[in-house]
Amino acid sequence: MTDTAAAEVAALSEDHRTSTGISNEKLAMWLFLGSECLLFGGLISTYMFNKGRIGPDDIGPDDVFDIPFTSVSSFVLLMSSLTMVFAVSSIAKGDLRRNRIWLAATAALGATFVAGQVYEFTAFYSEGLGFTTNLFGSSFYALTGFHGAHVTIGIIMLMSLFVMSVRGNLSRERAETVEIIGLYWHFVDVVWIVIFTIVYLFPQ
Amino acid sequence: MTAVQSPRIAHRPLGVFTRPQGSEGWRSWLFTVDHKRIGIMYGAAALFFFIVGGVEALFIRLQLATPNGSVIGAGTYNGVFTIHGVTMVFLVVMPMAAAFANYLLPLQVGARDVAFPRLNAFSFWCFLAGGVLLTSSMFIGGWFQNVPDGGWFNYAPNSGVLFSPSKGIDFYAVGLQITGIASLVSAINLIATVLNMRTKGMSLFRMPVLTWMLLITQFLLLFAIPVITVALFLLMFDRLWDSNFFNVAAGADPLLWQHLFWIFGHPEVYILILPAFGIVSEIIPTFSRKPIFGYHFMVASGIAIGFMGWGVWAHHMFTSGMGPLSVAAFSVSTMFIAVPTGVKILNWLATMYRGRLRFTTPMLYAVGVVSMFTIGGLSGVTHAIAPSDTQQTDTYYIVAHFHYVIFGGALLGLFGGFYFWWPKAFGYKLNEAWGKASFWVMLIGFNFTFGPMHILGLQGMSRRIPTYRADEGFAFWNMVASIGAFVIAIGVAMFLWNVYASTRKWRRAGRPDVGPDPWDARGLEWMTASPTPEHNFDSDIEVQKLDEFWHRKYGRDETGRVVRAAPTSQIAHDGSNTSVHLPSPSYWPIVLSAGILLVGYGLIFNLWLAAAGVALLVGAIYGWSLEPPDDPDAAGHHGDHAGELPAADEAEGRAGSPLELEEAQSVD
Amino acid sequence: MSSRVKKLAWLSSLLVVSGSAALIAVAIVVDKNHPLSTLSPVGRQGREIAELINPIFIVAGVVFFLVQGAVLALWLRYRVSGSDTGDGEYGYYEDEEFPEQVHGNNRLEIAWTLVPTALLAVISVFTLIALFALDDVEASDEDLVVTVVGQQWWWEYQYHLDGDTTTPPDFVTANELVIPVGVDIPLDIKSRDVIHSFWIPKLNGKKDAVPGRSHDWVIQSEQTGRFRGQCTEFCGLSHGYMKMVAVVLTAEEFAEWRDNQMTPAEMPQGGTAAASGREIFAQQCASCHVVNGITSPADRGGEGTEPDGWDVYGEFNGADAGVYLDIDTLVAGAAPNLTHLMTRSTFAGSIFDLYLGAGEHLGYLDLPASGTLNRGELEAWIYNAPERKPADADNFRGMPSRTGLSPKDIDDLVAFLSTLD
Repeated sequence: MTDTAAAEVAALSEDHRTSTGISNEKLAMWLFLGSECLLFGGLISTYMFNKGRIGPDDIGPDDVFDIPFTSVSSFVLLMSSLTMVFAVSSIAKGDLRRNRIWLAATAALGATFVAGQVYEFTAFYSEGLGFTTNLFGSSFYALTGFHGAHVTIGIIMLMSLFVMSVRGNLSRERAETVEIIGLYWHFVDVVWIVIFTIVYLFPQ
Repeated sequence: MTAVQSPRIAHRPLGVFTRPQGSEGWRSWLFTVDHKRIGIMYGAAALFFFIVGGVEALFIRLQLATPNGSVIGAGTYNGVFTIHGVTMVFLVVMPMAAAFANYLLPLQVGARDVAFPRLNAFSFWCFLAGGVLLTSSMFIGGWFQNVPDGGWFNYAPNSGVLFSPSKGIDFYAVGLQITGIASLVSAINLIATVLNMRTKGMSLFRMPVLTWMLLITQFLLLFAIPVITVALFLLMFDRLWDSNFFNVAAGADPLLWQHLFWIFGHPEVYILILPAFGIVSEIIPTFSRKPIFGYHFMVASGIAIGFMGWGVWAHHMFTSGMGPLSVAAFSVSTMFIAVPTGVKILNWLATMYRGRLRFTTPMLYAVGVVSMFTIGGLSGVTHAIAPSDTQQTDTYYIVAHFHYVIFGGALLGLFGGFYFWWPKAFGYKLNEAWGKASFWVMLIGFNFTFGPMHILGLQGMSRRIPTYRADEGFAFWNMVASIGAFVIAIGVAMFLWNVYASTRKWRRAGRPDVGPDPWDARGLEWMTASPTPEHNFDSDIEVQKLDEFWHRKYGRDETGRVVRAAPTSQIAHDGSNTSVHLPSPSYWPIVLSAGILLVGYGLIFNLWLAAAGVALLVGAIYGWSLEPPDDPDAAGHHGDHAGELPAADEAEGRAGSPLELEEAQSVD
Repeated sequence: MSSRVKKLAWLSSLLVVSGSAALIAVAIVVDKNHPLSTLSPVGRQGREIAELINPIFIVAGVVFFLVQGAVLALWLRYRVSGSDTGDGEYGYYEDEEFPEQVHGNNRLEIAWTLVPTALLAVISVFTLIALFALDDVEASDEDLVVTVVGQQWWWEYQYHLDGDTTTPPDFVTANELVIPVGVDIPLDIKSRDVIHSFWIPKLNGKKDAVPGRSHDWVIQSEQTGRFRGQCTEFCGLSHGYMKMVAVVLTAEEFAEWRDNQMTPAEMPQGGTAAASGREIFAQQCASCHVVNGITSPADRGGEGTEPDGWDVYGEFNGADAGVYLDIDTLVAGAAPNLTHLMTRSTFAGSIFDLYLGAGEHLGYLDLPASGTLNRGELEAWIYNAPERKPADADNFRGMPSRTGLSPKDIDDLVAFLSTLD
C-alpha cells in the first residue's frame, strides 16, 4: 500500500471513527463469529459425545470415509482462503478488476468444496449411511451439514459482492465490506480444519 | 409483502423500496428503528406476557391449593407449568431486561441510537414472533392440546415424539430458536453500541454500573444462545426428521441434552439477574444521595459472575448420574460463585450506610431486591452442597429458591426500573402512593407464596406434581402459597391500575413536564428532556468523570461541602435541537420477522408454509439490502428540517454514531 | 424522627421478625406428619446429609438475619422523611445537605470478598468429605442388590439375592421396595423409557433413573417401618402419580417375605370364581402382567410371540439398560409383576392403598391374611384405570380401561387376584 493510499484509507476511517476504532460492522462480525464458535463447539462436542456410541455392526466412520477425497476438497477450501486474502488486498488497493477475479475464484473454490460435500453425502448415503441410520449418521450429517450451510451462505455473499462489483456498486470505499465477508470466510475455513481433523483424521 | 404500506408513498413506483416516514400513529411504531420506541415495545410486550404467565401461575396455585385438586387435569397441568416457566423466563424477564437495555444503553453512553437501528427493530419483532408462536401453542388445535409439556428444561427422551406425541414440544423447539435469534442479534447490536458508540470521554470505567451489567448480560447471551440453539436443533431434527440424537435405543445418552441445556441454562440465570443488579445499582445511589460504594468492585464482581457462570452448569445435574469427581468439582465451583454476589449485596448496603435514604417506590423495589435476593442466594448455597442437593433438587425447595432469585431478584428490580425510568420515557411519574402500596402488596404476597415453598420442599413435596395426597402433610402451606399468589396478582393489578390512572391524570392535566431529572439522579440519561427526544441529546456530551451528570450539577465549596454548581435547567438538554438527522424507519424488520414466524409454523405444521415463509424471508432480506439509506423526501424527525441532507446513515452501522450525525443548520 | 418513635419502630420490627419466625416454627410443628420429610431422616445416608446441611442452614440463617437486620437498621437509621413523593417537581431536594460522598473502601471490599470465600472453603471441605463418604457401602452379610427400574409410571424391583445383577433376578416385585433393617442395600437404578428419579426422602437423597445408563445408589434404614417415596424427575403425564414405598422389615421378617416372594403362584382350583378369574386374566391382562407359575410372556394375546432376548421377567437382556426398543415390542412384563400382589400394601404406582387402614394395626406380613381389601378401589381400577390415574393407554403408557368387563367378570378377577399372596 502506498503512502497516499494509506493516508486516504486513514482519512476514510477517520470519518467512521468509533470508540474502539473498529467499525461497527467489523466489530459485529467479530462478535458474531465469537458466537459461532460456541455453535460449532456445541455441534463438535455432540459429534464427539456420540461417535463412540454405535453398535459394533453399525455403519461407522471407518466404513464410509474416503480420506484422500476429503483431503483434496479440504485443500480446495483452504486455497479459497488464500484467494480471499487476494480479494481483500486488491480492493484495498482499488484494483476492482482483480478484486472481481479473486471474488469469483473464492466463490468457485467454495462451490467446489460444497459440490464435493454433496458428492460425499450421496456416496455415504448409497453406502447405507443416512441421517436417521444411527447416532454417527445423525451427528455427522448435522455437523458437516451445518458447516456446508455456512459455506453456502458465504458463497452467496461472495456472489453478491461480485454482482455489486459488476454493477459498479463496489468501490474502494467499501473495501471493508469485502474484508468483513473475508473474516467470515476465513472463520468457516478454520472451522473446517478443526472438523476435518476431529472427524476424519482422528475417527477413534 | 404488499400488505405493508406506508402512509405517504402511494405516488412512488417502487413503494416498498423507499423508507416509511412519520413519527405519529401506529405505523410509526411498526416501522420504527428508534431504540427508545423499541425499548418501550419490549417493555409492553413483556408486561403482556407477564400477565399471561401470571394467569398460568394462578391456575397452578388453584390446582395445588388443596390435596387431590381437580381444577385442571394432569395433562393440562403439565402444559401449564411448562408454558408458565417458558413464558416467564424467555418472554418476560429477558425482554423486560431488553427493554431497559434498548432504552437506556445508548442514553447512558451518550449515543444517539444503537449501532444497527434496523437490526434492533428486527430483534424486537423477531422476539415477538417467537412469543406469539409459543403462546399460540396454548390454543392451536384446542385448549392446551398442543402446548409444550416437558417442563421448561424439557429433558430428553421425554421430549421425543414417542413420549410427547402432541406438537407441543415442536412449538418449544421452534419458538425458542426464534427468540434465540432475536436475543443473539440484539446482543451483537448492543455490545457494538456500548463498545463503539460511547461519547467522547466515556471510557469503560466511566460507564454506569447498569451499562456494565447489561454489557455482561449481552456477552453471556452471545455465547449462551448458540449452545441452546444446537440443543434445540438436535431436538427438532429428532422430532421432525427422525434423527437419533436422543434416541436411547440407538445408543444415545440423554445426558447430552442436559449438558447442552444447562451450559446455556446457567449463564441464562445470570442473564436474568444481572440487569436487575444494574438497575438496583442505579436506584440505590440516587436515593441514598451517595455514589455507588466500590464502583470497581461492583463492575469486577459482575465480570466475575459472567465468567464463573460458565463453570457451574452441572450443579443442575447432581442427581443425573455424573461421576463423583464431576459432582465434587461443580459443587465447589458453585459455592464460590456466591462470593461476587455477596460482594454486591454488601456494597449496596454500604452505599446506603450514612446516606440520606428516601424510600420512593423505585427505592422500595431496589431494597426489596437486596433483601429478597439474599434469601435466594442463601438457599442457592445450600444447593451447592451436592449431598444435600440430592434431597432438595426437583422439590419445592428449588421452586422457592429460583422464585426468590428470579421474582425477588430480577422482577422486583425490573419493576423498580419501571418506576424509576417511567418519567424519563413518558414525561410523567407513576403515582407514588399507588406504587408504594402495590410494592408492599406484591412483596407480602411474594413471601407468602414462595416462603412456604422452602418448607414444603424440605418436607418432601416434589415439583411438577399436579396434586398430592391428603396424608402427605402438604395441605396447609400449599393453601398459604395459593392465597399469596392471589395477593401478588392484586399487587400486579395495582401496578397496572397505577399505569392507567397516572397516564389518564397526566393526559387530563395537559401533559405537564416532569423535567429532565425528576429524581436528582446521576446517569447521562437524565441530562436530556423527559420524555427523551427522538434524537436523545441536543449535542454530544464530553464526559470527564464517572457520574458526569451529577458532577456537573454539584461541586464542592471551599469548606468541602457538596453544593449545587449549576441548576439542572442549565445543564440538561431541552430537546429543542430538531435538526439532528436520524435514520428513517424501515418496513423490513417486521416483514423479515413475519417470514420467520411463517417458517416457524411451517416447520411445525406444513413444510409448504415454511417454504412460503422462506420466500418472504428472502424477499425481506433482499428488500432490506436494497432499501435506500434514506428517503430523499423523508422529513427529519420533526418534519421540518433535514430533508435535504445527504444521507449520513448510508450503512446501518454508522447511522447512530454521534460523530456521524450531521446537523441541518449548515445546509439551511 | 424522635428517639422514642425510633425505639418503637425498632421494637415493632423486631416483633414482626421474631413473630413470623415463631409462627413458622409453630406451623412446622403443628403441621407435622410428613411421610416424605427430609428433615427427619431414619436412614444412615439421609442422616449424614442432614448432619451436613443442618449446620449450614444455621450459618445461612445467621447471614440471613445479619443482612435483613442491616437492611432494617439502615432503613430506620438513615431514612429521611418528607418530600419523597414530589410528583412532577423539579429537583425537589435542591438545597439539601449531602451525606459524606464515600466512593468505597478497598480494605473493606477485600475483607468481604475474603471472609465469605474462607467460610465457603470450610463448607466445601465438609461437603467433599460427606460426598465421598456417602458413596461408600458398608459391607454386610447380605449380598442383596436390587435393580430398580423406572418406567411410566411405576417402579419395578428385581431382587438379586447373590448380588449379581448380570444374571436374571431371583424375583421381581413392584412399587414397594422391601429391605431388611440396618443394612446398606446397593441399588442399581435404571429406566425403561424416560428419566425418572428414585427418592425415599427419609432414607437417602434421590438418584435419577436414566435410560441407557445404570446408576449405583444405596439405601439403608435404621428403623423398621414404611417410608414413602415419589418419582422426582418429570416423566410425563402421570409423573405426579408415580410413587413408591420402602418397607423396612427385621431380618427375620425379611427372610420370611423373601422366601414367599420366590414361591410361584398356585393355579386356582377348577370351578371356583378364582379359576374363571384366571381365564379372564389370561385374556385381558396377561399380555402385560406376569404371574409366575400361571402366566408367561407366551400368553400375550394367546399368540406366544415372545421376541428374542426377553426372559420370563419381561426384562430385556440384550442391552445394558433394558430399554423398550419400541412400543411395538411390548410384552408381558411391561406392567407390574403380580405374583404376590396381595403382599403389597399399595397398588397403581403406590397411589392407592390395597388394604383399608393399611399398616396401621397390622404387620406388613399379616396384610394378606388379615387385612381388609380395598375392594372398591381395586375394582374401579381394573374397570377403568385411566379414570383413576392419568394415562395415555392408547400409546401403551399406563393401564388401559377394561370397560367391556361385566361386574361378575371383575368379581372373578378380584377373586383370582386375592389368591396371589
